[in-house]
Amino acid sequence: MNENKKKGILVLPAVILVALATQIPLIITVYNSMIRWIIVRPDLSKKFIGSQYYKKIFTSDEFWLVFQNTMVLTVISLAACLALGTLLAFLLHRQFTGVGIVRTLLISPFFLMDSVIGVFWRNVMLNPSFGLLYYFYKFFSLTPPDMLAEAPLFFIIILVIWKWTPFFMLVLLAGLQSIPEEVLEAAVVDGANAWNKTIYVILPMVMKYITISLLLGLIFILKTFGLVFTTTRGGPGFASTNFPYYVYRIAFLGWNVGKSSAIAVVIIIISLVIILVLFKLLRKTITEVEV
Amino acid sequence: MKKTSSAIVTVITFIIAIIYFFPIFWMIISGFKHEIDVVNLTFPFTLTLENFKTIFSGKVSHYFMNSIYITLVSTSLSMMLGVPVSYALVMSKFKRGDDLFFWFISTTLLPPVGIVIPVYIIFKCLNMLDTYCGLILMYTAVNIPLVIWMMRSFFKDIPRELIEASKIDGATELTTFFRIILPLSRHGLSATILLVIVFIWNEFFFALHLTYTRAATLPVHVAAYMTQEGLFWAKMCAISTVAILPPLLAGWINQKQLVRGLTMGAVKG
Repeated sequence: MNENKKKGILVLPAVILVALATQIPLIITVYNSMIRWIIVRPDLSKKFIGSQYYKKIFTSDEFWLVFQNTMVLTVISLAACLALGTLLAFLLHRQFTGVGIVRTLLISPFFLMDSVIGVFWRNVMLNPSFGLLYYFYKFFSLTPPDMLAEAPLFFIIILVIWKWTPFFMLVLLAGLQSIPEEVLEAAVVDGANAWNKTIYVILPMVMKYITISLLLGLIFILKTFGLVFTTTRGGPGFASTNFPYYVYRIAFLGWNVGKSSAIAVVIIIISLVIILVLFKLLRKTITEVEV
Repeated sequence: MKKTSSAIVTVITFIIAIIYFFPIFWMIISGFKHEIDVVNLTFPFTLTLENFKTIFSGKVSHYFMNSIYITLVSTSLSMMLGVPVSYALVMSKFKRGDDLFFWFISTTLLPPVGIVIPVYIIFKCLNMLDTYCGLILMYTAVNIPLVIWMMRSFFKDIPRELIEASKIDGATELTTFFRIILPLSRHGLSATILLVIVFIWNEFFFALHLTYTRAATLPVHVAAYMTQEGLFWAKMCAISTVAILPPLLAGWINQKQLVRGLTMGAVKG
């Protein structure tokens, strides 16, 4: 058996399956975005309409609201996760009895499925009539807010932060642990105080870990769907609808294949642009710190 | 002085961890309470196994078995298809190997919403909606890139001399792979398997769109339960407890390899 054939046997099955299941549907999505096709309206025959849906999307207020929601959700969540994750990583980067238990407790939310998180928090934790929030407010003789109605996007942000902070903490903890003890000692010998040590020694050395946690966090948080589906359902109105949930609403609640495909294409492009921009930005900061 | 402040920080760390974990603790405890005690917050309360008996005599065992079956088959398939690719990428000189690698990775950047509509329509035409086969196909395809990314970084750690040596000793390629490579990367393999299990077990998006009842998994059932059953919080907590336990255990066991697994080998943990 020659070398090439052997590689083909190893690689081809995976390539074919991944291409079949992800690439071909993607091409169909791009094609669908240019035809008028509403499943619940058989009277409107399928028709090629070119870029009309794209024009409609960019001129609709709805889309820009969803865009804004997605950006708010992503930026606040990432910033909070990074801040909290850093704090927790520093707290865990010490020697004390029970550090293993503490780490186990802290990482747990990360392994929970979105639907459980959403359903549980919406009801048992934050329900304004029977949830823990009610009893907490009653203790201080206050009326609890109905977060689902009053601050739906903030509600989702809390859940995203709760789930994703452990991930940031773990990655940053690994970063802190990768710094050799001698380097820190050398800095102290050279007369660096705690602040200088953090900025000039620790930060540059964990920058790679910050980058990777932000990038992966961004990729996953942009895909947030289950938490929206099981809590606010994107409402009231479009107040807490993000990109993935928007496509779901148009495609599976409105059965508009053409329009939802066009939105999906726009979302893919925007997501890729955001990921690339963050990547470039972080690249730049890393080199600046190193200089 | 220094000792006291260090002790204070430790205490604060414990308090934060307990608060952070509290919702999960509350969920599990509520699963063992009577319905009335969950809503009224009675204290002290009596513990009961009633909720678990009720839910398992209902539909939950069906969805639980679906989840187990789909997770196990998809995980095995993604490993069987993904591991050979990462092996080929690392061990043999591959023309355009990097391109192939980045192609696989780029598919993970793709939001699932970008492909779900055509997949739904194709599945509908092929009668694959609400079947194990359909969901397994998607889960395998989506997780192969993850397996490749992780296993590539673990395979890279194996010294090449070892492989050369076993070749010189007359071992065939297959023997080398099964007797040398796999045992040496067993930590990487188990980390990859456990992480893929967690991702597939928790997957909601495809399961929601591509199944109804026959092949639906636990995440979909949990989401549907509250709309159908209303205020049965204790039973909902019991179902949730059953649903989160397997990935929690997988994650706890996997802690050491976790960072490397989660960052997919981009940084070494």
